[in-house]
Amino acid sequence: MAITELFTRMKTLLAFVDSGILIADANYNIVYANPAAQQLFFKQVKDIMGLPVSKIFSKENWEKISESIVRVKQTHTPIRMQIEEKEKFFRLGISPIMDEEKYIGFILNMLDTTVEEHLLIQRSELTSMMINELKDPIYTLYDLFHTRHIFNAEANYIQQARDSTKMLMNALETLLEINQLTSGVLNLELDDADITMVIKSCVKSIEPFAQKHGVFLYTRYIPDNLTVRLDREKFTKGLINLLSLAIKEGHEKDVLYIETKHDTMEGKPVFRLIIANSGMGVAQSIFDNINEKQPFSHLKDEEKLYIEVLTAKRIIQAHSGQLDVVSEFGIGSSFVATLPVAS
Amino acid sequence: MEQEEIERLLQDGLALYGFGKTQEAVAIWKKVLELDPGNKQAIDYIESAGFTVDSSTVVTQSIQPRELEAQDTEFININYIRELLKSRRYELAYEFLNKLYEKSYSSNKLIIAYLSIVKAQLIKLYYEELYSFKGVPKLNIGEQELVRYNLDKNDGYLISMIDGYSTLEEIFQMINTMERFEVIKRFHKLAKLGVIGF
Repeated sequence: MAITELFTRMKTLLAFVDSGILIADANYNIVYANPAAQQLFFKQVKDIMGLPVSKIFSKENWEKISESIVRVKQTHTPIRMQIEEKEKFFRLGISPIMDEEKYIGFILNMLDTTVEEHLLIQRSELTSMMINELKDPIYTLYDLFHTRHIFNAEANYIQQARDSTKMLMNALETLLEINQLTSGVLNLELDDADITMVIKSCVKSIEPFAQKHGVFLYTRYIPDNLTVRLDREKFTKGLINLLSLAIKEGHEKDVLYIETKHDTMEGKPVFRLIIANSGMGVAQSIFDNINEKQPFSHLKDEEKLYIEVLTAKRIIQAHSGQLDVVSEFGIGSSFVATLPVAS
Repeated sequence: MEQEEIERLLQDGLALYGFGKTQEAVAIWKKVLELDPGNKQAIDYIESAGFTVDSSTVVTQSIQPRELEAQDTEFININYIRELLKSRRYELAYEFLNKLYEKSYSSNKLIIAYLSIVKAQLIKLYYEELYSFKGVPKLNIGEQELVRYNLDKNDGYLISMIDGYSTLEEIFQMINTMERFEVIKRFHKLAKLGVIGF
């Protein structure tokens, strides 16, 4: 049965599907687009039909998509991926269409996740802002009210202040999921994700924060599409916190260096994210002390200032990865995250 | 007349430095300090070459650059790297770490971490000295004079990208055959040698 004929019969059903469905033949030409797909690309049916799929995506995205189509063709297995196209985020599913043993085309299923993506980033930004802007003053206030000698006349007032700051600290720690992180019980919702894209979107969201601090961002991403099993929300939160800490450590005109690369560890392929700054750095012992055996409450005050490292480390460990930290006082710090690549 | 002599010596020193003859270059710049104690340009060049100049204009080598040795690939000499960082010899640290990285430790996280800190420090330096990459580079010397400098084909390629209109940032965008860090580093070298100006 010809591919066009097959999908003419399915038109009614596909018209009611929320995600955009494109069907292409073995020559990559579009033979069907449901109304949702037409809406996504602001085109009419007559404009889409017969159009090569390559024409509706940017050159960079088409390179990634066409590579995946080749894999789908060879393996006859569907592939999922994420792309960013004209400031919109899409989750793509590419499935082969087989006529008995013969490959005759593919289905491209596109779900617009822009709103979801923006919400995720906004939520992470909010948490990051809470941590970076409020954490230090809250801890300072807490210390101030606990070390201050209380005179009778102000006893009530000081007690209230102590209770309030304690409450704020607890709220902050809940938000950071400190208990779950330190106890190692962190529930992850893992999904395949294009790791470079996730990192790019985190870096984009901290650009205003870097500008505010006068820190220059230097980025170098590996060009291809690499899939890692991730809980995107938790990973994003951990990464934004780490990037914010690396920015906060710098002064005006300092540099935040971000690099992603392929590597191998014990013969297995891994993904590395390298974040380094030319900032003030800290004594290496501070980072060394922030280890998993130490409950958060036992950390010293100066160590609590680097709680972002602990949270990021736990989140990366929960993804079967590692976070290594090197710091040289007065010169800068480097955070090297290593994650296994999904097979 | 003396000023002309100083200018000539400064340029001769740069040419020697460009050929990798650091000791000879420093010796020439020391002559400048004899003629004009406290000459800022000479002090700047001497310090860039890894030497220090004290208040009595005595020049001493701050830290010895050294080649990668056999034991470096068996045991990573972090102390040497830290010594280089503390004395702000980032270019030397970069060369050393890069050799380690390429030779045998490309997957060593300690090397990756130190290399990234050094790169961040060097980008900071280049960003400041190359006018935040916003300036339009111009060739300061004629094509005939280029042969005086120890430039390779990659330097030649970068020089060919200078059109008198594009800013450094725009030139970086046009080059995708070389790592951006390497491009910035080379443009910085060309500016230091006086081959290009802004």
